[in-house]
Amino acid sequence: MTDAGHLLNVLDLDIDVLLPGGRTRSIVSSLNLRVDQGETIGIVGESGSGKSLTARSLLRLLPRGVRATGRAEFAGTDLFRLSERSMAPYRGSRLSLLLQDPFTMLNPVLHCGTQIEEGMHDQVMSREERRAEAVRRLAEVGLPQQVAGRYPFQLSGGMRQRVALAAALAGNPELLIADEPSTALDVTTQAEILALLKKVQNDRRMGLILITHDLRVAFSACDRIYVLYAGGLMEVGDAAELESHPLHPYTLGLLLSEPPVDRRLSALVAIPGSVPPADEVAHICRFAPRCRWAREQCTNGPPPLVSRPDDRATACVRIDEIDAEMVALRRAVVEPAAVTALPQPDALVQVHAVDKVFDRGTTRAHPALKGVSLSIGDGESVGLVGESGSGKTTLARCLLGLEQPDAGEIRIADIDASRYDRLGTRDLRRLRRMIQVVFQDPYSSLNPAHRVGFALEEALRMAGRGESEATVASLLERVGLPASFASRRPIALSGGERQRVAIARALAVLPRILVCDEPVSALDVSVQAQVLNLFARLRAELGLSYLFITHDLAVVRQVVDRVYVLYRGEIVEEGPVARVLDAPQHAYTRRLIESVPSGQKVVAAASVDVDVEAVG
Amino acid sequence: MTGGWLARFLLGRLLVLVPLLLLISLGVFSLLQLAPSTPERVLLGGRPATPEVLDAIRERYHLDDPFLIQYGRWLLGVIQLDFGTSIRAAEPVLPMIIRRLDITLFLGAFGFLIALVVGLLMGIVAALRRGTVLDRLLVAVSVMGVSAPAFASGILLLYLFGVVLDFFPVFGAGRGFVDRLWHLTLPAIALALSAMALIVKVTRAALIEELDRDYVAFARARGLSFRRVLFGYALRNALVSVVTASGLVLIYMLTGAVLVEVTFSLPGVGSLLVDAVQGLDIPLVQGLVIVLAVFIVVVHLVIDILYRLIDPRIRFGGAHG
Amino acid sequence: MAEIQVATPTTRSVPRQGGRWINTIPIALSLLVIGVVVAFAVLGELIAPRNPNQQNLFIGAVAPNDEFLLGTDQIGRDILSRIIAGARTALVGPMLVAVGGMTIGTMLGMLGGYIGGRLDALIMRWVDLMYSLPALLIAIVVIGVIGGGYVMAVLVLIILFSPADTRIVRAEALRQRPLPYIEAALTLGVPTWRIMFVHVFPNVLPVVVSYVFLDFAFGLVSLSGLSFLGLGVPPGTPDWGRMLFENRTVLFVNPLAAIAPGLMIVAAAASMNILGDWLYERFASSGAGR
Repeated sequence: MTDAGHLLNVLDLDIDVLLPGGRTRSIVSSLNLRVDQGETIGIVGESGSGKSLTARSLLRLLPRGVRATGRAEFAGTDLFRLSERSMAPYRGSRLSLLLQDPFTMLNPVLHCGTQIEEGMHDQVMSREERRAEAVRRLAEVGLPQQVAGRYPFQLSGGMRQRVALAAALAGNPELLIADEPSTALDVTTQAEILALLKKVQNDRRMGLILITHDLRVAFSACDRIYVLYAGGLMEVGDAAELESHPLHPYTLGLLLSEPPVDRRLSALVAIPGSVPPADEVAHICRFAPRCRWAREQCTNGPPPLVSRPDDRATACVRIDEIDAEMVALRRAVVEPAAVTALPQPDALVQVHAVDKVFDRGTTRAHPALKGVSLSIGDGESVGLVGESGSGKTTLARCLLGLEQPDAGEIRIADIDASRYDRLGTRDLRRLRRMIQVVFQDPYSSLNPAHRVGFALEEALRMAGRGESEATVASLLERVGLPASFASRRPIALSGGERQRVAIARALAVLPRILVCDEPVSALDVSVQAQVLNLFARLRAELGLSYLFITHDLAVVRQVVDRVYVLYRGEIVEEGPVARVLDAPQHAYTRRLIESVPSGQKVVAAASVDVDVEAVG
Repeated sequence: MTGGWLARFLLGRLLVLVPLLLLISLGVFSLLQLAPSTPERVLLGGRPATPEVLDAIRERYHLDDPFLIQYGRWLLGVIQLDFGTSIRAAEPVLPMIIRRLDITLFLGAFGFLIALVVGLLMGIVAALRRGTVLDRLLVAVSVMGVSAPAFASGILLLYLFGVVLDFFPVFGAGRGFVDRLWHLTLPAIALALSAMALIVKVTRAALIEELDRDYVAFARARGLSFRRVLFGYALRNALVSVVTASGLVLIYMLTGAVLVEVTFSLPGVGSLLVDAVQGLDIPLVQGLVIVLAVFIVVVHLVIDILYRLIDPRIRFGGAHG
Repeated sequence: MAEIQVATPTTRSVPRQGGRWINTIPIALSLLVIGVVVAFAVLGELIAPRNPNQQNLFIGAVAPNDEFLLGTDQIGRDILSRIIAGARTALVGPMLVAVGGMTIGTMLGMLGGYIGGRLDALIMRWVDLMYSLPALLIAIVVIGVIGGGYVMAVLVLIILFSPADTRIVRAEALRQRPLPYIEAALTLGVPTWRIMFVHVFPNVLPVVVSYVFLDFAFGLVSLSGLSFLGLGVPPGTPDWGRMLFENRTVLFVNPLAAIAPGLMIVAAAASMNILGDWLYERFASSGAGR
């Protein structure tokens, strides 16, 4: 296809932030991409890659102080050359944008139907026709008529995302840019939304740009993939080929960092370090500082994106030399770990028939846990899998004493931990030194007013251990951080580093069991693997037990021996992790596993309708 | 949305507010018992007192009765709209207040209108042009305004326009609507200046916050006109904060009105209050406080109703924001 | 009441035009003004050209001339000296009000926000009630009836300002309570009092400090208003608010007699407002938070 025939053809896109004093900071440079009608392309990148700003730049919706240069030819017209007045008719009617968070994307004070109707502003219709059309659009995304008269806050996340999609399509655009459309949703809802997107695209013969950090999502839904790292393109190519034979060390690193859901690896190959700011690496190969194959020629200058056969391209200057090594590494690492027979450990934690109801006795009473029982053996790593609303966090909080169960029993070692508030001081202190926690959000896990050293000293103080500099340094070392971090404040640390400090803090009391509540969900994929490896290492070195809570089946496979599946407050399945994931018994477990984006292409589902009863 | 919720809401509120008013009146009553001079001496106003005269006064005003009985007697009167008699003016209290009420109401409404309209405009412009010199200028002007007590800006305005330029009248409240407008312009401006900053700041902050939100970006991405996005999306959602601020400003107007009336020698309820308090005119003070309290309560009620009209989430019991 | 004080936060998404020198002008000016006021208050007698209370009935009110740089008032007192002397009541009272109100507000706000429960419900009930009433009006009635002058005015204002401060501190404490780093401290077994003072309060402090400045400004405005009405300082005291009232009558002869104290109030209050806003901006974007 000639250049002129593309739906969207972006050339040399640069995005910069204008700083005071005339300086600029580069966010994205030299980005080229193209989309054809009916094609789905994926832009894959971690945080700091510039992917979201790229999406906004195409609609000329950059925030103040951010500037985009280059060419964005849409059906022949360069969007960047248009005046604001000429650009306005394009938005919504020719190309449209779907944002990430369904909870903030819709106007909270307008009816859903109104918001869809507003997008039809340049189509001439009477009021009744408009209303009817809005209902039709809702049906297109699988929502019943009543939703038109509802406010967004009355709907679930998945439904809101569907409404947003209908609103984005109201002007019948030819190109839709979806920025992380499913990230804020549960795994099962995620799958539904992706299927819906494909269906809508097919029906309308639209072009679709899917922006995501999740490689698996990209592989399952896209035809071609652009791999973006720290503001520059690393590799471009057909999705299947990229997956089977990546031509860039970063792509390979991403693939290896992603824990596979179908087998357990002895260790994940993590990319060391973290994503640097774009302008720090704009003058060299952006990935070089973290690349094991980096040599002198990689730091001479920014490598260009070079075309390869089969419509692929890569920015790795050494690819011909290292291709064989990369393939070998992939093959070696992909060997599954030998599964050893697990000895029956003594139970360290026993949870028996625990109930918890929130807002008891009111009309809003909501049972979070119903008769939940589980056990964790000494030295055993146990997983708790569930989506939002399953009660997994509530259970963790009950174990830690942050919530009190309404019924049932919790025993930790020899202490009855069912009611923390009824424990004597000595038992309480012993308990607190036995069980500790690592939370999900690294950005609020550390007190911004305390230095790292102080936070660790505080923990050591509670443990009754000395707060010497040496002890603090050894704690940091154990989690892979240099002793100099003790004088830093959390604001100066990256997400991965903060999470490590949180782990160090938890380890300060020398606990026997660590409750980890989604400890890696908020981290970039490349950092995720690092932290998962850390967990594995700590367990081996210290003989820790884990209660590992997550919604991510692939992660759980790598880390735990046994797993419990929690659905709406009840345990629906349990067993050795390999068995549960390979041969699920319960329907919900099966649905969970099916929802994990895998190699199989997302099938544009024929019917993705939403249950009427679910509407508020 | 049926009208039923409104009635139910009002009823619920009244059940809370009536006891509140009673509490306030009780508070004022007890306060007056704490006054250093004894009521009898106050009533005499400094004239020489023989024991017989004092007894007679105590008899007449029932000052020997237990506290609660005195209060009860007064309350009974209030229910029958008899607020007692002013000690110094020897007139019934309620008509005295009502006579002067219209000046204060006019002044307050005028000042509020100026503060609201100008404040909103400044806040919106500042938000749309955030970070620019214009933004900083507008905020600085409003900060100046709130740093200038109503009486200070009042005097300055008096001087500039009344003395130097001789443009506006310098005292009195005028007769007839247009004349009154003319007389009350300077006082209203002084009043507005002292509270405008709150509206500017709140409007600006709320609007900036809403403009940063995803739903605004999404709306623009769908091609909605900027005007629609500004008014229908951003402002509409910023409205709750603005309404709250407006309510506070309206109440603050009461205080400002007192100062402004004294400055411009306006015969309104505010200057009446100052006179009454300084002269320890007990019945008058009590009457004024009740009237003011009712006004405040009504304002809060209206604001609460407005909230529910604006934000469906509050109506349906969900949390706002 | 409500404080007519609200700090003005700026946006986060806009790259800060922080380096521009033009933005430092208001801060510098504010610091200068406050410096002058403090100098007046501390050095008063030493720098005033005349005794502020000395009357010159023969001269009466005159316009500024070589002898009296800002002219005189009705009874011949030197305006300039009175302005300098007035700095004391303009500084001490509002400072006591701001610090006093914030101290009460911090204690109640931390207790209510962090500990919660019935105590918090009680505190909030009181706060909501007071927030809805016009503080100054209440002050007028209370002080007018009970008397007590300047000291009483300061005390009454401290009590009337504390609900707004309580609300602010409580909001900040509430915001922190569910955050993971506090829950981690709980899990470690850190005692409640230590969590409040060592873990929560340091993040509350920046807001507290900036609001003390804003409270000062509003306190100055309120106190001068009370003095204006004769309910603050005794008549005849060199106080800026009082001077405004007394010198209204000589507006035609010596306008500066009334305008000068008015300008001083505005300058001092505006400076504190600007400093408070600036501090709030600094803290909101750096320390507390990401």
